[in-house]
Amino acid sequence: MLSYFLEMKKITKSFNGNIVLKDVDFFVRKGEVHALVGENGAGKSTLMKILAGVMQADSGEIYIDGKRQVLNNPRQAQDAGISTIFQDINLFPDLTVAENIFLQRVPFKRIGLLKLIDWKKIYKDTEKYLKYMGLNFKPQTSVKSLSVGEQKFVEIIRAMFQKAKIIIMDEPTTALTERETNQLFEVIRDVKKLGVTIIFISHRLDEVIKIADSLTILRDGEVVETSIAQNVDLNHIVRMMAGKEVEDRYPKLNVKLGKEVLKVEGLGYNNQIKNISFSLKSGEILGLTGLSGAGKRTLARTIFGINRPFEGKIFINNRVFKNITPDLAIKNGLCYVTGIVAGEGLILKMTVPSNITLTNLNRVSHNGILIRAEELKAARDFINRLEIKAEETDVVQNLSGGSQKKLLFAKWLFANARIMMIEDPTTGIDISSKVDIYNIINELVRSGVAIILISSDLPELIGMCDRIMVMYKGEIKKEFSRHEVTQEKILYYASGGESSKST
Amino acid sequence: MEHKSIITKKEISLRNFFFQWEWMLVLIFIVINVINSNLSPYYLDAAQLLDATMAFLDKAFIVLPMTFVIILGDIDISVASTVALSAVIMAVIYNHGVSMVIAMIICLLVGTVCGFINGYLIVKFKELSAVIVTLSTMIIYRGIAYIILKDQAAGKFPTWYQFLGWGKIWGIPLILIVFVIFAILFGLLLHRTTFGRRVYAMGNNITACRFSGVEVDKIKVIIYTLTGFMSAVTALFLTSRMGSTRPNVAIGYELDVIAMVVLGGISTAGGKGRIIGPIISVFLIGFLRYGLGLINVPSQELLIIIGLLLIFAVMIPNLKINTKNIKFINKF
Amino acid sequence: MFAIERQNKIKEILFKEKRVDVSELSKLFDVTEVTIRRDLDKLEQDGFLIKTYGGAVLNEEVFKSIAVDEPEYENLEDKQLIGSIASHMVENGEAIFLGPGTTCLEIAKKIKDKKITVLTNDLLIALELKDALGIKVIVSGGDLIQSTSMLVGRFAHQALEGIYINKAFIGVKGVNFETGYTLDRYEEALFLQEVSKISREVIIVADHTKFNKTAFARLGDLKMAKKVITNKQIPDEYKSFFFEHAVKLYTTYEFE
Repeated sequence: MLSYFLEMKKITKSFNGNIVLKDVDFFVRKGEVHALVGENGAGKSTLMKILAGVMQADSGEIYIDGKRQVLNNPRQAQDAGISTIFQDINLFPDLTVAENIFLQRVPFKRIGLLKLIDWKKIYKDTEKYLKYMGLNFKPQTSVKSLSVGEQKFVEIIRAMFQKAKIIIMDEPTTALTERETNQLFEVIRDVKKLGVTIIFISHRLDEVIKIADSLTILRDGEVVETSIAQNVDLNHIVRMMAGKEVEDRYPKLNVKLGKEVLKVEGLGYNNQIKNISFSLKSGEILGLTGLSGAGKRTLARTIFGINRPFEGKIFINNRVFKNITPDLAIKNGLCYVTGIVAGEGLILKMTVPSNITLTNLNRVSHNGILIRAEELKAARDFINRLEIKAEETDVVQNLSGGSQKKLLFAKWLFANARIMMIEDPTTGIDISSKVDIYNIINELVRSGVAIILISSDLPELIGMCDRIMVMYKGEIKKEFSRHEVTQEKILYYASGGESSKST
Repeated sequence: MEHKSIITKKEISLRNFFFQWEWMLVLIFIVINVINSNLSPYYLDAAQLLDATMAFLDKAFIVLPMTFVIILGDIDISVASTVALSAVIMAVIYNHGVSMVIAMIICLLVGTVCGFINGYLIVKFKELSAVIVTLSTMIIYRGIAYIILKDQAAGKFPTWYQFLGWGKIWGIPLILIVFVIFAILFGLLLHRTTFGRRVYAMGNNITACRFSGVEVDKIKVIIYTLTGFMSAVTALFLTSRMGSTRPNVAIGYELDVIAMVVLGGISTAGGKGRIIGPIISVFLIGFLRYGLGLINVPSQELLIIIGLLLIFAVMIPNLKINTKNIKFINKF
Repeated sequence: MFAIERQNKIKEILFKEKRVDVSELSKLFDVTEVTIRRDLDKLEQDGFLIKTYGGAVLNEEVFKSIAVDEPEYENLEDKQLIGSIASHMVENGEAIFLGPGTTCLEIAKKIKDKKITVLTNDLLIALELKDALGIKVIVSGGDLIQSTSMLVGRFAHQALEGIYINKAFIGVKGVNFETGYTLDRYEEALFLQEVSKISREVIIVADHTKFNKTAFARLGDLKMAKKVITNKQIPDEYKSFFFEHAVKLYTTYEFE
């Protein structure tokens, strides 16, 4: 029997009484690519943070090569040979490739009394590695001129130079092109040959199957399965990830659908989204989901006119648009309730009324002159109607997350939106505000508004939507009706599953 | 609990009312006048004081639109060059036999176009900052003025044109009257219109504005165009006072103007401040310069005082920013 | 621990145990008995408890904040909104039950164009539907409670034999975490309990004024309903409670 190189035994971790990891056993062999998969919130990143020394487990033990390790901080983890490549690039953009790689362990040479940086060695060693990995850029290249994929490779080389025995890669392919992904896999296979162990975290299950030797599936903080990657297929992984269906608790209201209000034909933008077609009726809630980077956000932004120019056609109320701006979209009753409240949604340092009326200042002005009293009246009206816990004079940054989300709705209701693309309406807010927002959505569709609900919260989507579209790498892979959809099916297509293999 | 919070809110706004930067400016303004009148017996003479305004109000026209630019979080350093270019073109075409009225209109047009070009470049090339764009046009506009006039002076304007810079109506300088009218117009535009509201919103969070359908590019272009237009207005009054113009006219005006705006409590971070502040600081610096001139203080020392005031202006609001910014924005 | 915290803890214990003991409390909080007595004085002033020898008992009066036979036309607008949401839940071909009361009457007004079967024990509701030609109306029969339009009793119960209901809409007088759903009369509660047994889905309708109130007769606990329809003004705790216990909570909003 083969012994394990990394052993994490009975790892338990909880935050404020919520158990995130429960007696997790995670075993990895030397020189293998071990994939760690699970839904958002399954505990993958917590487990890896513990391994990287960023977080400490409440209980449990970690062994590397049979030796007990204490990893109380990232430094100790690094000394133990663990190196992490995060989802976001972690390099100095203005320094060169070689400088980035050698930043933490600069080689010196002595000339008499002087201790000088041995640039020759730095460039020679870097060059050697770049060649080994088949990368054709120079060590002197500054990092910011590289593509995201190439930057990933630089991070890997840096990890190698830090004598990493275990490299954790968190969603490394998210920002990569198809070609770069393949190149990355080549590099991973090369690195493996050098005896380095790789822990590969990804939502893209098709890639996991391609690159991993073995895999561990986490669900709700527990390991549900560890197996050899060759022996499992996508369907099986998805089933194990999803587990049982959760009880439906979403106040879905059945509303008679009206006429078609939005149609999109062959929509594309900058290769980030491709050939997207769908239509939407008034009173309908159409779900849109996919992994991060799948293009759901890009799609909404393209329809709203933030991303320009687009390919294809957009029809709003049967009027064709070949070009659209947010201003034009709003004038035609289309709006985008962004999920990024502070950055794109609200102006935190201004008051509640100023935020509500910004979308349609003409409604509270006469010949361009603002009528303060009317603005206050409108604000008060919306505060009451949406039960927002705020006063008219409040500055938005002092409001709770739930109130801010409601305020976003208020500002689009003020603009008389009839087609609303709503993104992550309930992330990060308390339960009672959540319930309020579902009911606000109900009331919207009841009054004939058409809604595209963009979310990664699958129970919410399944609970509230009439139809659900699943995106993968910029394309709509599958559409489900309310009656046939399950979490499992969504996960299958969102992770790159193909229709032919569908069950 | 709720009642309590309302009371504390009121207390804060009351405190804020007295701690507003504008009141500080008024205070400094009064102090300067008291000191000045003590130093020089000639100072506190109403007619003299009114006359004094004629000497410093020319650049004040640019302060008004510059307030908008800085509230946006941007900057325009090409204004002095715009003044020079529009003044030079006016003088040259007048000397080529075009009527003075038409030359004046063309002066305004040149300024407007200069401003429009700034705005257009800034929104078209988003990767370039406003400083870079207006720095380039600052050099270009001044350069064109030199090409046209080759370091000479141009003038010999009709005598009625002098009235603009030197004239009085019922004892009040014309330039002061025009400035007051413009100040009121710009004040209304900033504080009473949807346009002004959008400007504040953009200064606070331009992305959120874009996502709310505010036509941010259009508004930016309008503001830069207005700045160009007002620079041309300055050119009209300045040329009238000097009687002739040269390509190196109005050198350093951009810094004076920006200093007045910042001293007026307009945050360079954008989104904050009221137009009354820069207006007060126009007079503050003007009278300071006049008063110190009466007692023969050299202008270099004056610069030090203005510099100190600026540091003060930038520092003080930051020290009590937490309560202050809320107060400002509460107005909306 | 601050006095206010301690007093809140004492309140909690009171709600659970209905009575408290001074010496026990002093041990529990590690303070003198004098301090505890001072706390109890304060709580007595607030009306939460009645002091007894060596301790105190919960003031039950606090919970009897119900009004029997309140004027039913109150909050008419809220009830109308509830009625129109409820109408979206009724599909053609279904058999539904409408309980007594004005809120259910508002539902009746909104479903007249459907093709359904309606069972009710409220005469006013039956009358309201008399001209709705697509609706088959069944009245339970039974004893009329004087000065109301409600039918209860043995004959009413007999009407339920051998039938099944898709959705039962029941209006209640009180909604409370401790006491559950409550009604004015026990006969009514008994009858509605029987109705819920033959219904696939119990849908509770109650405007926001019914929350945190307790009426005389208990219908069941809060989880007995699959869905609850009410107004947006209800306390947040109820919103979270229903969501966490997978009871679908519908609240009204007016946008048009």
